[in-house]
Formats: sequence, C-alpha cells, structure tokens
Amino acid sequence: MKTLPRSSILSRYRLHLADILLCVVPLLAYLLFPKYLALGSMVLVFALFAMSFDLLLGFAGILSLGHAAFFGIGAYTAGLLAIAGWNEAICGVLGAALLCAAVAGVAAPFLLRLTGLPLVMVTVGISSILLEAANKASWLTGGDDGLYGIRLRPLFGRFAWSISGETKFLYTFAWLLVSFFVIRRLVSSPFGVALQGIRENSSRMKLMGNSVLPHLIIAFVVSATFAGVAGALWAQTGGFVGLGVLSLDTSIDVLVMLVLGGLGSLYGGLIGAPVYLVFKNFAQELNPFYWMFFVGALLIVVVRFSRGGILGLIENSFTHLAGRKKRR
Amino acid sequence: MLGEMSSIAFVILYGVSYGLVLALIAIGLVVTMGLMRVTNLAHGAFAAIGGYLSTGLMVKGGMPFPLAVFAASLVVALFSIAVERAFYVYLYTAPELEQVLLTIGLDFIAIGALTFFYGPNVYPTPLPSYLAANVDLGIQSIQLYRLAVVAVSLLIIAALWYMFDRTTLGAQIRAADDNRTMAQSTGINVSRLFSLVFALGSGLAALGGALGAPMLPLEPLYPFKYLILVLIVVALSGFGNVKSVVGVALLVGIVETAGRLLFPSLSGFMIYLLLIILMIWRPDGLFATRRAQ
Amino acid sequence: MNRALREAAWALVLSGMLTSGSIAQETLKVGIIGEFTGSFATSGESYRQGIDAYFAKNGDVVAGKKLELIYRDAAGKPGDAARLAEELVVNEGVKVIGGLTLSSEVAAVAPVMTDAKTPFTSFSAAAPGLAAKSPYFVRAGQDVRASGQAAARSALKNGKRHAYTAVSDYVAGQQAEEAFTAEFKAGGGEIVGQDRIPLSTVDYAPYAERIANANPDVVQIFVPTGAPAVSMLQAIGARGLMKKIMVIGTGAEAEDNDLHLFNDSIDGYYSVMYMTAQLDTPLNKWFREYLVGKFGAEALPNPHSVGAYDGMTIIARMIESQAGKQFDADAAVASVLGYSFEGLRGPMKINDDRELTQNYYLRQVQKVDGRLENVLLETFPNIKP
Repeated sequence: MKTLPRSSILSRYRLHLADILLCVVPLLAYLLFPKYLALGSMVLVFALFAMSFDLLLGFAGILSLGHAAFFGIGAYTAGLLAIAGWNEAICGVLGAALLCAAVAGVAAPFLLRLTGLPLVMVTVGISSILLEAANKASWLTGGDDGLYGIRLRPLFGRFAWSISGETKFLYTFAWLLVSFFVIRRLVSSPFGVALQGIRENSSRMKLMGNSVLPHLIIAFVVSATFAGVAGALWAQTGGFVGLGVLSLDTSIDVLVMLVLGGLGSLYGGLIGAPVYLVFKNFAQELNPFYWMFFVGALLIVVVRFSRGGILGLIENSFTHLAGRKKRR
Repeated sequence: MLGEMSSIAFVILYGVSYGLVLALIAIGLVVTMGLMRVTNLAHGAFAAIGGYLSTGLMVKGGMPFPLAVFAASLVVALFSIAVERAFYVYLYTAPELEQVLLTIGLDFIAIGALTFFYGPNVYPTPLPSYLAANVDLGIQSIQLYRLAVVAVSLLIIAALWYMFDRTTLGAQIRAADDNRTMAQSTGINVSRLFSLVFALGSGLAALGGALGAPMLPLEPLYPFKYLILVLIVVALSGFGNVKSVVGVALLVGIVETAGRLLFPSLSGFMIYLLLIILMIWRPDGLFATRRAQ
Repeated sequence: MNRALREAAWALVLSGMLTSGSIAQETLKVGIIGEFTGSFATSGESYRQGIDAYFAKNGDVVAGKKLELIYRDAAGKPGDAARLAEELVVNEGVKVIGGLTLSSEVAAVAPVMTDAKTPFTSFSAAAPGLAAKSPYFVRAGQDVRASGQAAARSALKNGKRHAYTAVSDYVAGQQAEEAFTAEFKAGGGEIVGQDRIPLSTVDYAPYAERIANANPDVVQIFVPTGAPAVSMLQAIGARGLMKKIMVIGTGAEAEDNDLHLFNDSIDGYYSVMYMTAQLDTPLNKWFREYLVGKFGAEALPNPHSVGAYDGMTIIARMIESQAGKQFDADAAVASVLGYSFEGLRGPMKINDDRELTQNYYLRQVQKVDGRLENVLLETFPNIKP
C-alpha cells in the first residue's frame, strides 16, 4: 500500500503536475474526440466512483466488496427524484449524496467493528441483499426492466441535454473536479494523516490516543457520499438505471479499476478507470466474443510488472530514469 | 405428517449432495488461502475447466462418466502446477489486492478460453442412464446420481481427512500452515509443498466441478457464478480448517435447499442473511482454531 | 507523339471520373445491438444467422442503397445499450437500429432514440407496452402476455383445472404468470401454487419438488433460456413430472436449436411461442434448410433468428418507403403502420400503435425419427396484444 510522501500531504495548497493534468486532459478529450463523449461521460463517472473507493480502501484500508450499494442508491435516488418531478440536475445529485451519507452513517458504526475477510463477506452479503430487495421492489425500481425516462431540466435553465453529450460531459467533469479537490483537502489534513496511520497500524494509533472507529466512520461516510454522487451522475447522463448498478460485478469492476491504477494517492482511480474502460470498450469492438481474454491479459501484465498498479509503473520508470541520470 | 417427512428427506438428500460438491470445490481454496496466504479468486476456474474437460471426454471421447471425472481432475491438477509456477509464485509475496487483481485476470482469461473452445452456450452434461434413474426410498424418490455424488464425495473427504491427520505429508502441510518459517527451519521444502498442495486443491476443485456438472450446469461464466458461494463457505469455515469446510458446506447446501423449498420468494436472501449473521457472531469461522503467527 | 499521349491521359482521367461515379453506391447504415457475450450470447449468434439468411434471400440492397450493418455488444447491460445506441447514431450515423434482446434494453434505449429521431425495433423483447416508450419503436418480437393467455387456453382445453405457476422472479416472468393466471381463472380453473424463483438460483430441484408436492395437473413455466432453463426442466424431468402432468413453457426454454442441451426427460414438454420451426410455408422451409446447411445441424430456427429475419423485413420496408429521398424517421415509421406481410413466423400485421398482431403456436417436444423436436399442435391466429 503506497503512502503519500510527506511533502504532498502537507502541501495541500500546492498544485501538482497531476492536478493540472486532471484539469486539462478531459478538456483535451472533449475537444479532440467529440464523437466519444458518451464513453467519456461514463469514464468520468467511474473515475469519480473509483476515487471514492480509493478513500475507503487506499487511505482507510477498508476492503469492501459492496461499494456498488452506494453507487446504486445514488443512481436510483437521482432517477426517482427526476421521475417524480424534481428534475433539476444538481439538486438530484445532492439529494442522492445526502441519502448515501445517511445510510452510510447508520451502517458504519456496526459494520466497521469487523475487519478482514469477515468484513468483506458481510459487505458482499449486504449488497447482495440490497440487489435482491431492489429486484423485488419493482414498483419502485422497475425491477429487472429498470428505471427509465429520466429527463432533466436544462442545466442552469440554459444548457440542454443534447444527444451529442456535450452538456453531460462537462457537467460530469465539473462534479469530478469539485469532488477531487474536496477529497484531496480532506486527506491532506490531519484527519487524512491519522487515517493513514490507522491503515498502517491501528493498534499503535490507539496507543497513541487516537480514536480509530470515528475516523473510519467518517472516511466510510465521505466515501459513500461520493460514490452516491457518481451513481447519481450515472443515472442523469445515462437516462436509465438498471439493477446492474447494485451488482457484485460493479463492486468488483471498481476494485479492479482502482488497483489497476494504483491505490492510496487519489490519482489511481482517475487513471485506472479510463484505462480499464477504454481498453474494455475497444477490446469489445475489436472482438465481441473474446474481449475478456485481452482484459485478463492486461490485468496480469500490470500486476506482474509493477507493484502499485499503473501509477507504480509510472513512478518506477521515473525513478529508473532519474537513477540513470544520476549515474552519468 | 408424510408430507413433512418427505420434505425433510428431500432437504437432507438434495441439500447434502449440493453441499458436498461445494465442499469438494471449497476445500482446495481453504487450504490455498490458509497455507499459502493467496486470495485465489481464480479457484472457480479450475472447477469449471474440470467440468468442461470431463464432459468433453464423455461427449466427444465416449469415456464413461466415472473415468472422465477422474481423468479430468488429474489433467487439471497437473496443469495447475504449470499455472502455479508461472503466476502464483509471484503472488506468495504480493499484497492481497494484487493477488485479487491477478487472479481476476486469470478468471477473465479462463472465461475467454472456455468461450473460445466450447462456445458461449450452456455445455450440457449427459448422465449415464444407470445414474439418471430414480431410486424410491419410501418417503422420497431421488435420482441415483445424487446418491452417487454423496457416496463419492464422502469417500474422497474421508481420504483427505486421513491424509491430513495421519500421514507425514498432512503433518507437513499443517506445520507449514501454522508457522511457515518454523516449518522451513525443520527442513520441509515449503515451495515444493506449495506446488503439491496447489495441485491437490485445484484437482479437487476440478473433481467437484466434473462430478457436480449434471447438477450445476457448465457455462463460460461458471468461475464467477460460483465464486461467491465458494467464498462464503471458505469465510465461514476459517482458514486452513479442512474439517470445518465440510460442516459449513453442508450447512450452506441445506440452508439453500431448505430455503428454496420452504420459502421460495425469500430464498434469494437467505444465504446472505445466514452469512451476515454468522460472520458477525463468529468472525473467525464457525469452528475456529487458534493459529500461531 | 506528345499530343497522342496527352489525349490518352485525358481519356483515362475522364473515364476514371465517369466510372467512379457509378461504382460508388450509397450505403445506409443499420445498427444492431445484440448480446454476443454473457448469459444471452446465443441470442446474438441467432441474430447473425437470421440476418445472414435475410441477406441471402433478399440481397443487401434496398431501394438502391446498400445496407451496411454495424454490430455492437450490449452484453446484457441495458445501460451500455443506451450508450451504444448513442454512439451508433452520433459516431456511425446509423439510420435505424435493430436487435435489442431484452425489454430493459428497449426501455433504456427509448429516450435516446426519441431524442435522436431514429426508428428502432426489437427482434426479441417480450414485455408489453414497449411501443408507448417512444414514438419511433416498432415491435418485431412478441408480447409475453399473449403467450401466457394462449397457454392458459390450451390447458383449459385439455381439461386441466388445477394449475401451478413457476416463473423466474423478474418482470417478464411476472407478466407471463399474471396473464396465465387471469385467463386460467376466467376459464374456471384454480391456481394451487405460485412460485417466483430468484434469478440467482442454480439448483432448481427444490422448485420441482414443490410442484410435485402440490399435485397440480398443469404447470406454467417461464425461465430464461440457457442454464436456468436447462436446470429447471431437467429437475422437473428428473422428478418424473413431464409425463404425469402438462408442463407448459412460455419463455423459449426449449427451442429446437437448444434441444440438444436436454436429455430425453424433456419429451412431452409443451410450449407456446410466436413461431414454430415446423411452420408449413415455403419461406419457413427455405429458412430452415438454409440455416442447417450453412450453420450446422443445431442451427434450427428459434425465436431470435426468426425475430431477426422478420425484423429486417420491417426495417427494409421502412427504408424502401424513403426511396429517393433523405431518410425521414417520422415518415419511415408512419410507412409501416398497418403493414401486413407474410413473415417467417406466419402472417404479421403492425398495428397503428406499433405493436404486432401475429399468430401464437402451441408446440410439444416429441421424438420424431429418433430426434427430439418441437411439434406444432395448434395455432392461435392473429392475436392482437
């Protein structure tokens, strides 16, 4: 598990190269690939989802295979709000985020008393039960058919949601940026440092007088809140919510994206999600039958050749180059 | 009265046969995760490959069912050694999440390969006629196949029991499981032991997949479909605890079957409720033992 | 010398310009969103077969335009289907979209198609009321309620009065069950048991046991094609129920191309579907021979390949109506309202509400010349949803 170097934790007001890239690359994509904006919006949604998961797993060290539960709650909430008539986009996201925070706040104090495999299995159990319940409550969720007809009022009264996807992309991007800076602020604070300390060695933290459980609960709630934001954005940009948002597959997908990108630095999810999704998209187009082969190979290669995912690979090559330069 | 007796008999007979197949698949994973500390999410792939190979041998090669099951398990066990040397040795020292990621990658490749060789459809496993017939046990009539599954599984599990408890190999495994460094310092070749245990576990999974194929149909997504169920059994039985695996798997099989028989609409929830309750009550597994680190 | 060369060069250039004009043919892109991986992958394969047959019979030029098909894999995820539909329209410029195996996919794609003003049709989706979701939707699949009703009518006709329903717990199964139940009760029958089976089920033996314990004389089944269908029907067969009572399926559990997945215990299984491989029309006979000839003995007609063929007929009609003009979606859809034709599945008519009036057939699995086949027993003509 990577720890952020001291300098980056404490220099919370300094802008790194990575932050600038985060602001610039999606805009470049927007300008260069106007025909792939639907894919782009999906990538941004999952990047946000993966980043929220990084807070939980990378920083607080809590492995949950049920994070899709909050993604799903966010998606269904935003969808239902829109269908019920409250179809202002931003309010929809805030409503979803609020509900997720509330649910997480109630569940966390009980859930986080467990650790390790028991915790993982309980998260699997809870999210599976939620999925089954959503299927049964088809009067609310549309069941297997899903929630459709999610239409939103033009953003700020001016920007219509066109099929070419410009508004959706920029809207999602804005949310991603805001969320990123909020979470970054959080993890660079003393709270964030304490969280990492707990992740490394919780008994020692307790000895030092830090309360462990409240820290974990806050991390869990914040993580759930932003997962809910991602889910709401998914519903709003896709116009449709299916049971898949709550499935184990989705939880596994976000885990794969995060670990692929690299844990513990907030940028991992932002790299892993695009790489995984774009690769998967083109593998599927290339060969709709055997694309799983290629994705599997990608995962194995990345794990085999680096510790810490893609970010680890990048870091290693930089230190490699720096090392070579020094020797000269 | 007869109705209830018949239902109870059904639950026991069908639940036990279902549970024992799960046990066969899960034992391998329990030992791997306990001994080698590898979270091997690709375990289900070995079960799937075993099932596919065995069915292929029957359908294309005309082999009789018992021979096909045995042959497939052997082939998979040998094949798994190659896989272990190629990928898993790297994982022994890797962090847990990297293990998860790599084994998920292996799952994807397995699914892609199965789709390539056998197509995306269900791959049906024909039962030999002497097993397909029903046996009337008075209160309940049951397919002879299910009884055969129970008998064969119990035999294999008894053999495993004996091996773990009474043989040197078993003692070595238990030693390495409890305390790897200590075991190494007494001269046990741990890396060769790992390969052997991995082959054993994968071969058992293949056996479970092949034996259970008429009951649990084969399709390319098999590795992911049964992953959760197997993980539930593993989690509930604690690590490295072979004896408890059987008990837990039987419990899971019976609860699943009883749930579906008696409360069909709620049956989707039951196994997860059981999981949550048991994990909170007994996080170390139902029959946990102390472990030295 | 130079002058001759120059003239020859001009001649070459001119002839090049003239011929290139006539070689270049206008193409019209059609998007097909299907399942090519995942649990429904066989339906994607069937779509390809049906479309292949359509082109073999009718050629790929409609109204002077060459049809170019672009396939995308939704892998059973409706959210992806919506995004793929958007991409097909925006990136590839498709004019019509077909495929869409699942009703949830139709629902997901509908708002996108309405915004994009693009006609679309589903080759297989079975939920009722889909046409209401978008003014650009035309159905080419079935309405599952009609199957349920026809099944109930068959049961009543056969003197059955005590029914058990066992359906998979999702919207399609629930609607089949509700339609069957209403019709069965209206005919004087009694429902002795009603099970909604979770989709996550792997071992169906307990449900077969429940049916046996309730002692009905007819069982209505609705289970997704593939592993669930195989498990459920084998469990019912293993319990000896297939011969004792009337087991009638409404969800394409055991279509002809899937019969090789089952053992002999499926003998006697009834089903209601909007097509039958045995339909005695020249077109159907040709279709059957073509599929088996090109794709192997297991490639018998099934609802998906038939749906694809008939769906392409509807799409072609839409395109034909726009011959010589710019493709106008509203006019294209309007052109098929009231369109009556002899489809692969029998006589078909597109109603004014863009739903489909078609025949439904009662079939039974029987051994014919040593092979299992769905034998046509009865036709329910022109059912309007």
